[in-house]
Amino acid sequence: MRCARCGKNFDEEMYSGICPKCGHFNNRQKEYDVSKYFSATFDDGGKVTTSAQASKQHEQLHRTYDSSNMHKPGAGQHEKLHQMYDKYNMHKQAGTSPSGSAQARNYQAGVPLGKTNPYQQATVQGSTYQTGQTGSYGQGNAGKGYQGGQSASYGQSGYSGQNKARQASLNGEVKTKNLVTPICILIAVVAVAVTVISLQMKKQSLTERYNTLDYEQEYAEAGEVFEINNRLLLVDKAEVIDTSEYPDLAAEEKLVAVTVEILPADEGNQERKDMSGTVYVSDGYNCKEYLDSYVVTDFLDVEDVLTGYDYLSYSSVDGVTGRFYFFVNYEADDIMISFDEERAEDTMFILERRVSVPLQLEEDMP
Amino acid sequence: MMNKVKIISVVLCVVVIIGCYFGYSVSLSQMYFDVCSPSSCSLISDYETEVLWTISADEAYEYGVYYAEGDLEAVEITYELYNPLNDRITIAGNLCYYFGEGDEWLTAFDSVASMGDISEYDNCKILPPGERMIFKEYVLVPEEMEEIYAQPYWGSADAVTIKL
Repeated sequence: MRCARCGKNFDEEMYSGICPKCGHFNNRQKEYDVSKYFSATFDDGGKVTTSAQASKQHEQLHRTYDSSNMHKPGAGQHEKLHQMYDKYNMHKQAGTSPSGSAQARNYQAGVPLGKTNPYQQATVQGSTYQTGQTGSYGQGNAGKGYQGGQSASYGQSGYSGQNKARQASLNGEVKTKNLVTPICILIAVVAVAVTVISLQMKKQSLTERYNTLDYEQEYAEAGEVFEINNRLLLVDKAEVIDTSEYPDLAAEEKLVAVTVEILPADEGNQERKDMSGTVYVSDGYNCKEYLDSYVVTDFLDVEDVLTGYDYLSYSSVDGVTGRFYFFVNYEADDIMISFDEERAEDTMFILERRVSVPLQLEEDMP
Repeated sequence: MMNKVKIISVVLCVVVIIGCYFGYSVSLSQMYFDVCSPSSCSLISDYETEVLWTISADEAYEYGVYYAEGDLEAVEITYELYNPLNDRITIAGNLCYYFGEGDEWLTAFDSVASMGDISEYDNCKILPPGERMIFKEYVLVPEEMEEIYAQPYWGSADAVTIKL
């Protein structure tokens, strides 16, 4: 149609008789079925409702007319429309005024000057924009006018209320599901903390035990029976072994054999769990452990060799007599043989008792 | 989506717990190795020095000492060792290596006498907990040097200053 004021040609149906150039309302020359606007499908998150459609319509009107400065001085017709319809709070739902645009107000299309909107339906709320209902201009749907959404301004989604509901429901779901993740995080943090603290405490305990020496020192005479490692022992004598036949041996040391008798163990004392102990000789200069049997037998061809294994194992339960062999300083005249009793603690051996027997060296007369 | 987050959270939690278990075991093993060693303990409680003899630089060259610029002294260092730890310490070979005031390397004679076919391991010296022992070492020191530094192989990581 042609605008009666400025003469611009425009689509009457699209603009509902309102000139897009000057805003002048031109009486409709014919009725149009606008239901297609309301029956159009707006895909908004997969949900299609009449209120969604109305909201889209509302947005479309804003897009159409917001760019036109309908409030410039001399707009005339537009101002009169405001005077007529501003009293109807078209944006009452959101409570905010259209941002930045004075034009985005209670706009109502298709209402000629001086006439009331035939589609306007007076409501308790005083709003001509109603949701949930579709209608069409000129189709006799009296009382049902252009229906807008609940948004306060054009361009805002009419799903605000629905969005709020969805957000609320979403929040509820998140709160429920997030219980698992925080609990798992808490458990993991606690596990790490417990591990670190346990290691620190273990290290402190280990260091303290390793650096602290606390044992019971006892002395026994040669020929006296004493108890060590659940065994009854008797140290008889210490003899110097003639090694003149072995010139390779160093002149600084001499071979000594200490005779020890291991008495039969009581039935109640046969439990040897975690028994450990060192057997060594101190000559005033050095401390030396007993020689292994294979070392002694290779050189001396003897059979009464005792080792720590013999003394601590079950083989000595019925009693055994033998000799421990040591290399001692050549200048030593007396020695002290010691038997240690240790307890196992976390793979560490803690010295508990030591029994020492002083001995005079007897020269082995060939 | 939320189910996936749940499952991932639980799986990660289990992984962390298993990791803590293995980490604890490994750390414990390493801890025993680090703690139960005398590396931080000084075994040397006292020492004495005695000059045994003096040799010239040319004579020292025959002993394999190539750094001598003047006469050298053969110094006998007698250590008194004490073990304050709950651990038996085995001392095989020399106790320390030596260096001079200018960080130059000093020659120390082998402390272990030959035992023929008996290995040093079978006849090594030990220092049980709470025991004391005397240990002697011999070092070739330049005549003008007044103090040397002994870095123990066994025990404290800090060098001991030996005043001659």
